[in-house]
Amino acid sequence: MLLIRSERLRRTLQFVLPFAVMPAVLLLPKETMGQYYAFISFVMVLCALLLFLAGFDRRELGTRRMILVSVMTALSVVGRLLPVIKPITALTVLSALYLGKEAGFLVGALSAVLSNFIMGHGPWTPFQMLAWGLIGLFAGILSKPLLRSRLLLYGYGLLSGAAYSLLLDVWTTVWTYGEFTLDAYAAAISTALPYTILYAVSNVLFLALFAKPIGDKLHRIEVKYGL
Amino acid sequence: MRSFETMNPAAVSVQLLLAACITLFCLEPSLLLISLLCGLSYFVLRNGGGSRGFHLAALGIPALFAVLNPLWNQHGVTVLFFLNDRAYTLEALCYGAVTGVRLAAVLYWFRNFSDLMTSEKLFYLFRFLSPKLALIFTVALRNITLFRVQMHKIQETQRAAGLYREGHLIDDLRGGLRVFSILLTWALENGIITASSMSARGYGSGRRTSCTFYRWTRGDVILLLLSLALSAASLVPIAYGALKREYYPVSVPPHYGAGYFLAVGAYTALALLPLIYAGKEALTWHSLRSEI
Amino acid sequence: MAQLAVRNLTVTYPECSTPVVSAVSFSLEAGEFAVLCGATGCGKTTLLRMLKQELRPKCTQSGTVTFAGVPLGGLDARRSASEIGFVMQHPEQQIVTDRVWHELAFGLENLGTEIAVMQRRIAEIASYFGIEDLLERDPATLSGGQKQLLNLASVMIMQPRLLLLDEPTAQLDPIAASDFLTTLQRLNRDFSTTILIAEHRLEEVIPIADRLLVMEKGRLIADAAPREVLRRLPQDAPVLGGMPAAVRLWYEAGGEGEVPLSVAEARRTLMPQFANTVRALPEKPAPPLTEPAAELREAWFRYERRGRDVLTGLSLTVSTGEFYCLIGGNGAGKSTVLRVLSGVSQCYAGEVRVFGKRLREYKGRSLHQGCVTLLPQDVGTLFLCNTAEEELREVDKHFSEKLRDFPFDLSPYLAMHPYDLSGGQQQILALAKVMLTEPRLLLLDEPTKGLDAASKAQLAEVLHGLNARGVTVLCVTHDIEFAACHADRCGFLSRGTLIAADTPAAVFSGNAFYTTAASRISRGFYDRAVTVADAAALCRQNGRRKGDAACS
Repeated sequence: MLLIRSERLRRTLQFVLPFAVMPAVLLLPKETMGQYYAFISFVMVLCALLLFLAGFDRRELGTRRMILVSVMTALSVVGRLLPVIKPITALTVLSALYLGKEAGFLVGALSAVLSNFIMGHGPWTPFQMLAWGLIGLFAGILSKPLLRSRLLLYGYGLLSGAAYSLLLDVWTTVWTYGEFTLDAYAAAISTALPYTILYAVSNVLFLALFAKPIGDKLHRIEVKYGL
Repeated sequence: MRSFETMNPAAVSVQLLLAACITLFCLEPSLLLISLLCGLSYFVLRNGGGSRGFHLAALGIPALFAVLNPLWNQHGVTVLFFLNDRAYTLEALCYGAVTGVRLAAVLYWFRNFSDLMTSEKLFYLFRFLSPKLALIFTVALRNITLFRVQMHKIQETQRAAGLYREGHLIDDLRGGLRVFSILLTWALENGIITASSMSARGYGSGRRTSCTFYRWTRGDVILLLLSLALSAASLVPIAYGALKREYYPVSVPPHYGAGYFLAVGAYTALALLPLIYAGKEALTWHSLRSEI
Repeated sequence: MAQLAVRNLTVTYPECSTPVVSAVSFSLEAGEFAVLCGATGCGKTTLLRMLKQELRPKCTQSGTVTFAGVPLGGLDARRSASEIGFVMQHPEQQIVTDRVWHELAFGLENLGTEIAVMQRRIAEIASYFGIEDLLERDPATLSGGQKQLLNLASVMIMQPRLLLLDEPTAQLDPIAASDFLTTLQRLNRDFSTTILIAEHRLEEVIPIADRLLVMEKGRLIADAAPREVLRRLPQDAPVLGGMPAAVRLWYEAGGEGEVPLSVAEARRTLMPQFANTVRALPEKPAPPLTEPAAELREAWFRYERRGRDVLTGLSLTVSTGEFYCLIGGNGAGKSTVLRVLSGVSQCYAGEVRVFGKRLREYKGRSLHQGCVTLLPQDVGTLFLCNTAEEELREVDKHFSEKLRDFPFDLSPYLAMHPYDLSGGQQQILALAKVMLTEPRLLLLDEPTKGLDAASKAQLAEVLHGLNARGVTVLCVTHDIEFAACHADRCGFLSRGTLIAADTPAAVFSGNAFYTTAASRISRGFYDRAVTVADAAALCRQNGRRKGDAACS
């Protein structure tokens, strides 16, 4: 289902939609948007997601890489069920670093949708998928510097935790207020602040714990079997 | 007549997702209550009396939203009382309740969706998007079951092999992490075997087809068209503002005209579809049994 | 034209100096059933993988492999995938999807088969393998044997001309293994599928094979009909350890004429060659019963409240310092005994004592500190590090001191990745790892699963070494040959109760069906000869029957 044949157009849309059109639409005055903020943001996120996902069939992922994507996805879902460990972000980022940006996006997005089959789906599912997917995608794009410096990696973890919360707060705002105003958004961010901090810090913690073992293990597979 | 869950997954998911999405689209109490009732009834019909926890969470949400919304939201003119110098208004309370009902209704529809969509149905749906993605999805699903079993095994082994030290707090904390590490090592090594098993069976040797037992029968097409038509009949008036209700500063109801009744009526029919199918199936069985 | 022809194949791995497979040549005709055997690490797996284009490891190679006259590299990808099938050792990991029918369809999907054709093939193959009832199931819910049959079926659905199998029964219990081999024989007979199977459990596969290929250190040292190969093997060939009991007895007793391959043949042609006047070896006294290390009294256990009882009033005593083997069929409750003794599961009635103390009296984790430890069946549930050394250090920094007494030298393997070790080495590394907690009672669950004869002997040596250091060993196993050869005492468990507990000789000579092959061969001729060594000693003691040479 590749509705848009042109690779470049799809590429542009993938980024323009969540990063330009969505903020612009959200900032439109209430008179033009009526009561449909929730619906419109939901549909836009869904479209952005489909654009990303539909593009993967064309890319050569390779059988081993594909399986490793499923393995990492399943691991982060299972990890999300453990009491203390919430490793989705860490595993998404690490998959992106070692397996590429497509793999990163897939691990993030699929972990979100699959874990919600257990934790409960809701209108937030596409938002989570997009948020985690993008965290993986950007980690993949920045893989060189992130692999070189551990400090940068932790910084990325911190940042992605914050970014994740910021994106989901958009949804919370739209949902509870029925409209998007910067005041309300600020209020939502400040209520969620403790969670955001906890989340960002735990991302760093898990990256610190898992970066070396997962790196070693994926590296071994790359050396022994090839990817 | 076939039961709702045996219909083509694409038609079924279109019905469920449209019922959920239109709910998302509006803030009209009558439509939201209908949506909640239909979603809830179908859920109860399928699951019986169980899942008390889910009901509690889903139905508690409206109350929670109603109580909490006025705390953040100062709109509205009918002040009920002041809390820390902030006005607690009737309008905000109503608005909170309505958004709460909306969320509860959507939760039931999504829950019905995830209950109905077994892994093979999801595979069938994902296939439209991308066959490769569909396969990654199935393998991931299989791995989740596998890993949960293995994780349980590892936890037991770690205990029985005496690898936790006594009275060692750090060690206790590390325990969970170690279990996960072992699982990780095992999972990655296993993944390689799975990948060889796939290439040994010709994965990646060219264009592939996908086996599926789902077909489009006339019944499926009717269900799909019916869902689409009813949704359109409901969405068009909504888009023209037939259900537009003002909450702030004072509550202004929509105009109760033809558009209003068309939107709500069509949505009711849409949301009732699963129940109608279930009801007809039950009737058919009943009459078959009495013939025997 | 040969179905498969290998000419002068030499394979070297990148970081190694010596080739793993050197100058191997052989060919298989269509419809042949060939068995490839050899000790662990002799290059069997590499050779098999070289025969399947998609699975070739990273290596340098010389020589040629042709399939029906076409060089393997020149074979069309789809033809190669469908006409050469490959089944691996681990049942679980080869499965890709989460429905049985989908697993069967997977190969056909990859070949781009029409949906209607696929559905027909699935129906056909399900009926041939008798798995129609399982089609809607999640493979995770199947037993190991069913999973392996599913793997075979999902390869067979592509109608291969050549089927390569790499130790397919190593992870299965004896009954499932035997079912699997029977199915293979049926496939070979019904469709004349050419079969090349690598195995080290040869008891049942040798009698049905047309060809036997023996590898040693990367070379093919024998390639002919089984009987012919076996007649010419040197007395001390390492592969003999895994051969059927009939063959080993023929060698050790010095038999003449045709080599017997099965119990029936040995009884018919080998046993009558000896005078058979002495019926039994002097009876070895049972080891004295000492202080009990582990004790169950009238233990009752079930997994679910409404489930069936798995242990039904079981009473069992293991003496300190002995090597006790618990045997019995599937679902007899063997593994449950270990779970109960290691405190993972609790009995709902009866008493469990370890070293005289009730299990309940061990507070906190004291039970697992210097007292009881369980070595799991799947050692993959223990490893998490990059090298064997880290693996040991992870439990105890001073591992080398603690393991000074360990009866096996691990130093050559310390730098290796745990998953790169062979099955036997993994088992011993896992054993070393759990021994670091210094247990006095060691519980083992199926430790010989997937091991070849040499590794089993090595493991037994290590366990006896631990015995000598005062460690009590309780081992649960399906491997009755292992129990008969190495245990001090055996317990025979059935439906949750102990049917018999005595020396292996007494238990196995008392059993008529659930007993060793050597015991079945010597029954009626000798008493209490349950191992090949015992039977051979009796044969030699009796000497050859006089004037009987014409007979053989």
